Amino acid sequence: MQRHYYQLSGFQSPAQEHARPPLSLDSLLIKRPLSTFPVRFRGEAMADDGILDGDLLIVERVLHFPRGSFVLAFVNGQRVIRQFVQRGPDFFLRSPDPRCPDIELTDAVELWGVVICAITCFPRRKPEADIAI
Amino acid sequence: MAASIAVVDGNNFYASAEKLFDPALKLCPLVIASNNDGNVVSRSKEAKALKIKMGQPIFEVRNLLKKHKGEIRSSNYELYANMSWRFQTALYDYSPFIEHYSIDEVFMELWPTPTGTLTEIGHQIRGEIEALTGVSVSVGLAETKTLAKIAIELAKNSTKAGGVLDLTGSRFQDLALQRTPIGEVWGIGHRSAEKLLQRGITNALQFRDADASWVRQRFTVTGARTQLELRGVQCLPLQLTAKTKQQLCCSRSFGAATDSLSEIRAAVAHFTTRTAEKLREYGLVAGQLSVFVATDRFKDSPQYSNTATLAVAPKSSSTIELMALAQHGLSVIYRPEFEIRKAGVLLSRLELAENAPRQLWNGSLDEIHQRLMAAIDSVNEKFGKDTLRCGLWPSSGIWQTRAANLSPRHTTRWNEIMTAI
Repeated sequence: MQRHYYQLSGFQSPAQEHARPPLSLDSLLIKRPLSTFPVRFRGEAMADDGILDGDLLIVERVLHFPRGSFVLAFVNGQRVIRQFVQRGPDFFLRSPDPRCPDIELTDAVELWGVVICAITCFPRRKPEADIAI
Repeated sequence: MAASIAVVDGNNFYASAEKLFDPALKLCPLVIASNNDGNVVSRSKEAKALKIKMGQPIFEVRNLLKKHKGEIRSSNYELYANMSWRFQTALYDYSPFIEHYSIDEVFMELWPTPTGTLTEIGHQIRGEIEALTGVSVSVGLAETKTLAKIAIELAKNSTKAGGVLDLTGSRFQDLALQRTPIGEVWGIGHRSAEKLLQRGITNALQFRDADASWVRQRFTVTGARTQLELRGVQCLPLQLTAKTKQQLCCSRSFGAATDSLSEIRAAVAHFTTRTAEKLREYGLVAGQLSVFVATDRFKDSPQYSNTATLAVAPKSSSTIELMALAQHGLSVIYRPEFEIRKAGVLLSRLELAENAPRQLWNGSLDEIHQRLMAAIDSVNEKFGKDTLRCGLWPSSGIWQTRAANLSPRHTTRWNEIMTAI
């Protein structure tokens, strides 16, 4: 096991009993590891709802799909990310982009999982010498 | 109330795992090919409908699949292992007593609850496991493992059962046994089945009701156990902890046969490295090493196969020591006049390292080997397999399996995860 606090050779640390493992993103984002799957999002279809091209999505398989949640669905042989919405008696998969028409929920559409979060990573840039502080 | 034994089994496990991630495969007949893309090892239900058989050579089914817009996938064991871990671990939500029997099969103890019969619990398991982990399963329940296996076979083949059948104390048990051909009873091998058929015993019911002393006499204690299990007496309890490994083996059929000693040496070096790594991973040491070679037995050419077995003394898990023995063994059995198609290394007389006898005089050498191997393992874990190798053998060679249609390893490699639009 990795050590996250050291035995001190001199004075006993007053923090000893309070030492805790460092924060882990897994413990924050993955509540149910057995039903959690990573997915890479591509394209602009969900940009206005904050899911950007290249985002890493954490998708969880669930027993019930809450209305309003973002979902991964299988539609016509493709994996798509859309918002699961109800209008009147009917359910749809919607995109905020007007170029992407609503997808009606039929037997041909398979809801796969719920998007728990989207992680945007910015490219690492080299520090520029002239603006060093 | 006594517990029932449930067997929970992934339906067409490999094919379903592929279909789970790939929407383009939805209704398509899919077969999974074995290592080297040789034979069918799993079929989707659409492929079963085309009468494709388990173990059938891939070249035989290629045209048929093409005609029906089917697909062939190489076996993606990295993905299947992960999906196996998912559904088998999820089953602990229903019972703490679980035996992990194979990659796609578990035995577990289940009890009816005040709110649910075993059949209802079976359906709940089936629904929730598929929804949450993506693995579709069937459930068979009965008093013993052998009866539960009969229940699950019927559950899979009956549309009415919906993938779940409880035979515990059921008045349909006799009928179920009567419908089960003797050769399909769990624990009855091919040879025993033939012997029984000659005696006019064609189904499980007739075997259950056969004279017990006759069964014991003709089919030894194994047959007697199977018969008792069919009578509802538990003889094969759940194995809740994995047995300590008895053997570790790494072997391959080569893509093409070879008589080149240097090629076979490299393959044996590779096999030795893999088995020694596994040995250390399990904290074991080996007392015996066998190395074997064989020609292609399906080919009409001169046949040869041989095994060299050597003692590892003192017991060790050092790649250096095992490598020397394996290569020596190969020198003894190698014959330049034969084309070798298959080779392998088998380690046996395994023991936990801490229980193995220590050396009085050379103990420090043991320790040096252990520390060196630990260092090599950690470098290889960090920088990739075989970054550091014991011996001068190439990183690629005839032992590499052909996997032309490998799907992405969606759950274990960051650069192969699913994409969505």
